[in-house]
Amino acid sequence: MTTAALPARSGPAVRRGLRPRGVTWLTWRQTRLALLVVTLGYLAALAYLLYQRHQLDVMQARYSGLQCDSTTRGTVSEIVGECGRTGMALAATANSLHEFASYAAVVPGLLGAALAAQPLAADFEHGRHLLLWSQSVSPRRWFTQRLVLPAAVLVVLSTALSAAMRWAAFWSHPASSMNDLAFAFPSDAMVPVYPLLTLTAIALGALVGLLWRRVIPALGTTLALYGALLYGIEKVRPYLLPFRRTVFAPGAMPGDAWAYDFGPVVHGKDLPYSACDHLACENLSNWTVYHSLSQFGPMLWVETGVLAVLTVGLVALAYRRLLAVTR
Amino acid sequence: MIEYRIDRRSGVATYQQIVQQTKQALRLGLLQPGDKLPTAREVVEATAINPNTVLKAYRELEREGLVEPRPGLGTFVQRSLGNADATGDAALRAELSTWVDRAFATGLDREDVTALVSAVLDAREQRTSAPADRAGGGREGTR
Amino acid sequence: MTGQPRAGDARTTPEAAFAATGLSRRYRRRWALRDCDFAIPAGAVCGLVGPNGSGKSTLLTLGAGLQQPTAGEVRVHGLRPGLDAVLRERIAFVAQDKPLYPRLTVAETLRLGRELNPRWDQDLALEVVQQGGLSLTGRVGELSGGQRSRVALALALGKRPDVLLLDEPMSDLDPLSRHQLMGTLMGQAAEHGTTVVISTHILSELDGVIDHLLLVDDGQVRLAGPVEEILGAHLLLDGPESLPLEPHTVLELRRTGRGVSALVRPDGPVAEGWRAEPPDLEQLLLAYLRSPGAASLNTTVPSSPMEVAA
Repeated sequence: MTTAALPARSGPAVRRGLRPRGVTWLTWRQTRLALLVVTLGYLAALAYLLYQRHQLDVMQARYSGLQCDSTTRGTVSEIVGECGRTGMALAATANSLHEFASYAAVVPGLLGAALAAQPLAADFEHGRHLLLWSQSVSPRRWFTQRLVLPAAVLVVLSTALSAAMRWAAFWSHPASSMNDLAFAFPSDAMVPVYPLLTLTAIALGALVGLLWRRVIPALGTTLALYGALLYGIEKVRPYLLPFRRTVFAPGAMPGDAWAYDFGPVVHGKDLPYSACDHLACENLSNWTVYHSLSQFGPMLWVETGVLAVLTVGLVALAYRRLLAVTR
Repeated sequence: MIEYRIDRRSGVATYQQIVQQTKQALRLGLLQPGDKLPTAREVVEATAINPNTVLKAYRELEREGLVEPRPGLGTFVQRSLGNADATGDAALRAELSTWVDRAFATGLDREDVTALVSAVLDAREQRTSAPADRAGGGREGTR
Repeated sequence: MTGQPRAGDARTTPEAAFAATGLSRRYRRRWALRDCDFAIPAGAVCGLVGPNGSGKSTLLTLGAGLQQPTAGEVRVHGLRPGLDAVLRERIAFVAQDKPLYPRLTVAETLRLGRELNPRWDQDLALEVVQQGGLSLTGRVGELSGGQRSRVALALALGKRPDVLLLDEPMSDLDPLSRHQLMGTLMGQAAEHGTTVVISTHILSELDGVIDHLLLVDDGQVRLAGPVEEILGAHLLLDGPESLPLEPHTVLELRRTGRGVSALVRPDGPVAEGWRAEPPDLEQLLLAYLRSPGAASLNTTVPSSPMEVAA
């Protein structure tokens, strides 16, 4: 017998560099294609965003060059026609940025479903959790490392895109910022909300994947819950910061403000807007509760904080669920 | 090196098949003193039997003084069985040589001769193994 | 022989490789395992047999730490699978369905093993895969069932475990592969003293391979112990009906024309006139499975009252 001489077992080889190891290697191997596609998608989106922002500048320059005026006289057909076309084009470009932000806000849900819910549910559906957990790695470590890589990549990409978004909408031209984006749904696509929203979606997808353990229902549930989350944020957002109240003279609605509600003031009393049905409101002072544009930045941070708490909660639930599965 | 063939349907305990086949090899001179037996790992890899069975067979052979374990090296044949000693070899070889000449003279070719020899050896093997079979179930008769 | 000390008697082995006390596991309302006691010594090659749905897979997943018992406990080398982290690298488990990633190549699947296991033996894993003539660059999803089993076993063997738990590992292998892989398994057991537990319902698969037996039926241990001891504790008696069977424990009684054939656990000398012979493993297992009421025999747990009966 030669049992005394074990075949030389190659010890843990010295490994250098950034080569992924352990579960991270497996995650990398399994998600590299998806991550490449997602990265290219983000870069394309970024290019599109910058191009549209540039177009907006061009349109604005052209529009101001035309010196259009609602009271312009002279060759009405030419000038109004040109002004009208350019104005429309300008509005369309601004609108496309608005739409772009709206679509971008939906993307984290898709990524959470595709990169968190789907792989986890698929592993369970095909019994591969038994394969993974019978290696020398704890389920907890597997679960963590399985999600950290895609999460990290997505946070970097979404931060870049959403910073560009906010730059395009607010920071690039403070004087002519697109205030209509403030406080509305597309503001989810801006830093710092967007990266956190992406993390929340991944945590949501992971939890749903662990709960359902079947691919199709897990995908559907993740998307549905993400939709509900966006809707919920939309409903909650006005209450994240205290309202301001002011009374303004007829026709002097304050600019740069996001009015939540308003109505006529009659005999020092705030009446609801419905009172205007039988009152000539345009001749009365009006009250309004609103958020000023200066509250926009802080509100995004509050929203981010709420999402962070939600994410932590989802992750904690996911770990609890994982523990229950291994019991 | 000896290769064991295990017949699972023979009704003979597996370890006894190993013991018997080793003894046959010793009787036929296929194993000589100083030869190394295959390791338990080698045997079970080839035969897909339980390692303990091999160890048990080797212990049995050791108890009969036929083999000897040398720590770290393996299990070695200590003495042979039967009469196949070195002095007899030359005479036997001469006899066989004459016989082969006669066989070729009668028109047999190389393959025929080989087949004939194997047949005789097989018949002989059966004769020698038969008593051991009957003793099966208990210990080997020879001690 | 200079081999490592191999399977000893459970009673002389200080620490069993795979042991259970009062082990129970419930799925919702159904008990998959109930109050199981056994101890399999280190280095044993143990056959885990029983009908479909008898609790074999549950027993193995509990041993692999992929689930936890509802009651009682399971220990592997004295530690709790799934809870004691140091045990992870010492147990390998191959699930019944041989789950693998279909999109990975064979080489990448072995890489998975290397990345996730500190004791990984790449040469051994490669040997197992190449013995079956598998191409390393082929995708796992394109392999046949038997080839997948081979890759799954390569992954388990390459982990170089102390305890190898295999859930019907050979069921879809051709006879040659089965023989090769069983040989490789036994070679590992011989070389490293690996404890192997193989579940199956094909008894012939285990012939000459196992030295310990665990028969599980309806979630309970019916037979547990070294094969020789279990076989030695039974006799197959043939003779005329009039002969007394007392004081033996009769497990199964069949009429054969004018005579009877009885499988008994003898307790004292057999009466004159019986033709007695030891049963073979298959006869014994079938007799136990056909007679659910027959008292169980467990020689691995000293405290078991059954041992007294035996």
